[in-house]
Order: sequence, then C-alpha cells, then structure tokens
Amino acid sequence: MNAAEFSALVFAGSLGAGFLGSLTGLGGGIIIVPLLTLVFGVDMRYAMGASLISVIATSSGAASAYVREGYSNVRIGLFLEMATASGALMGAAAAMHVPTSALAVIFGITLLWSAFGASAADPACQSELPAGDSLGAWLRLNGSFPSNGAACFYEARRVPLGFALMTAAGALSGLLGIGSGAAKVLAMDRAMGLPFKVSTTTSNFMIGVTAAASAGVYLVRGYISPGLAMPVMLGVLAGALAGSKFLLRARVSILRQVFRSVLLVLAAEMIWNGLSKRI
Amino acid sequence: MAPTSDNDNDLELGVSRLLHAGVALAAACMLTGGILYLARQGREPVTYSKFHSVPLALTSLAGIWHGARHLDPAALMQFGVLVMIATPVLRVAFAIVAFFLERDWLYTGISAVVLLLLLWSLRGTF
Repeated sequence: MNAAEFSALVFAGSLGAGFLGSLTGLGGGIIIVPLLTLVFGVDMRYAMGASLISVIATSSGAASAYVREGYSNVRIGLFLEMATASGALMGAAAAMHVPTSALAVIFGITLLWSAFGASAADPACQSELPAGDSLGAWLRLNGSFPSNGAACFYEARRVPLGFALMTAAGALSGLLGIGSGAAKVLAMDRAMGLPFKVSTTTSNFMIGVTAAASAGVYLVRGYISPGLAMPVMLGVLAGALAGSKFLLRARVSILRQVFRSVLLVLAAEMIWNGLSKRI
Repeated sequence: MAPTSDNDNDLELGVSRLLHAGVALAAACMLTGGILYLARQGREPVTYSKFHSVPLALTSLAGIWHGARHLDPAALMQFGVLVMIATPVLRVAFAIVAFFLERDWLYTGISAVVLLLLLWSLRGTF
C-alpha cells in the first residue's frame, strides 16, 4: 500500500470510530488501537501513540459544550488529576518494559470491561447541599448542576477510594494509550457516588490532561509517528464533531448495541492475537 | 458557598474557547503537513508493522520547531501533535490563575502539582 492509500483508509476508519464513539458515548479512542493493529497491521506502540493524540483531540474539542451546560466540576477534576497524572506517568514508563503481546491481552480485557461494565444507579436529585464535614466537603468537591430549572446538589463520598481508583485509571491510560474514560467514570459514580452527568463530563475534562501526561513520555520514546497520527487525529476529530451534531436524531440504543458487538469482536481478537503472540 | 459562580463559568467558557482554537490550530498544522507529505511521498510504500522509534529530530521541541520552520512535512505534522498536547497543559495553567485570583490557595496548589506532573512528563522533549 502506498502512503496516500494508507492515509485515506486510516482516515476513513478513524472517522467511523470517532463518529460512533461520540454518538454512543463509549468514546472513539478505545477502538483506534484494535483498528490499527488488527486491520492495518500497525505495531502496537505506533497505534498507542496515534490513539493517545486523538484522545486529547476529542477531550479538548468537546470541552466548551460541557462547560456551557454546567455539569463538569473543575475542582473534582483537578484534585483527582493528581492521581491520574501520576498513574499515567507510571503506566507510560511501564509500557516500555511490557511485551506488546501482553499489552494486547490487557487491552482486550479493558475493552470488554468498558463496553459492558454497568454503571451505578444515578443518585436522586437533592435540593440542598448535604451538611457535614467530610473530606469531600473540606476539599470543596461538593457541587451542584442545573436540572429542569432547579439546582441538584451532590456530595463526594469515599474520596480516598476514588483517588486510588483514579491512580489505576491513569496507569491504564499510560500503559495502553487510551483515555480510560470508563475507569474514570467508574471511580466517580460507583466509588464516590457522584451523579452520572457530573462524572461523565468531569471525566471528559480529565481524559485530555491524563493523556497529555502520557503523551510526553510517548513522544520522547518515538511512539508518535506523524504520518500515522495525522489521518487518525483528523479522522477521529471530524467523526466526533459529526457525531455530536447527530446526537439527538439517531436511535442511540440500537447504535450502542451495534457498537458494543463490534467492541466485543475486537476485544476477542486482541486477546487471541496477544495470547498467540501475533501482536 | 456556591461551588461554581457565574464568574467561574465565564472564565471556564473563555478557556474552553481557547482550547477550541488550540485544537483548530493543531488540526490546521496536521492538515498542511499532511498535504505536503502526501504530495511529496504519497506514492511511496509505507508500513508501520515494525517498530523503530521515529527519527530523533521528531522527538524534541527544538528538532520539531526547526523542521516545521523549514516546512518539513513530518515536522509540521508533529508540530500539530505538540500543539494538541499543549491544549490540556494550558487548561491546567489557566486553572492555576483562576484559583489564584479567587484566593483559593488549596486549589492553586493542587493545580500547580498537576501542572508540574505534566511538565515533568514532557521534560525529555526540552
């Protein structure tokens, strides 16, 4: 394949990934690595480098929409980012020493779990800020978001557990070149009991910062190949942009099922190829 | 205390517009570099199946900047990558300023720790 054909095909694939990822809310980044390694035969490390850059692109690109709606909590994001950024630095440092076949197996398992892991039930809307002098209150992590014209207040519980889980989420991000949004949402909604809207939008804010922490390490190590990052990043960005415009019109539940089946197949392929040392 | 005042939101909105501009700039560099790259080397065979770290000049700020100024396609695209990496870093830097202006010392400190971690990860490129 020559460079023009290769770039065009990778662009088209990334466009689809970005589109479906944004439409279903499952994130486009996680599908980029299997797409590049399984379909285009790209080395795992180059694939992780290109994926990581596209993760930053979607996070920064979507920021203004979320801020306007008033859901994301910057304090929670930055507080937990101390955990994820350190985790990412450790994960990225470890990635160098882990064989790519093992990375592929870990990737497959993460893929399975982010496609099918259930989230906690959304806590009920509280009309006033919960009192108390918990660690979350002291760190001013409690907040509110608008819902039907009224403010819903929430409090952050089990802060140390959330912090620990976030370190793991960061390590996963650095190890695999993904945003690990699913792990971040898990830490926020399951462990800390935050409302779903707050955890997903705050996670979007955090994903870009975490990925930037790994990106520096990847760049120095030569994982980021510009000829590959170019079609991937432009494709994912264009796809995510189109996906956000179609959000209300499409039948999301059907799409999510389709996307999940695709992720299931890719996860199985990643694990199989990793176990048989073909990656 | 209200966790996010209107002022807060205005600043955040301004920052997120800046981020948008950063993403647009990164995409423009990528696109320009990409067009030059495909115009010059579009017909050459390409493969990424074997990993051998990218040329050293594409892994440091000085090398990328030097190449981008001379319109080297790969360096231009990599410059786009750098701009993209810089957007979340800038976002954290602005958060430090915002918390400082609010006299929220705890979060000025927390944001500064995050910024230091990010700069630490980029130290190899300086």
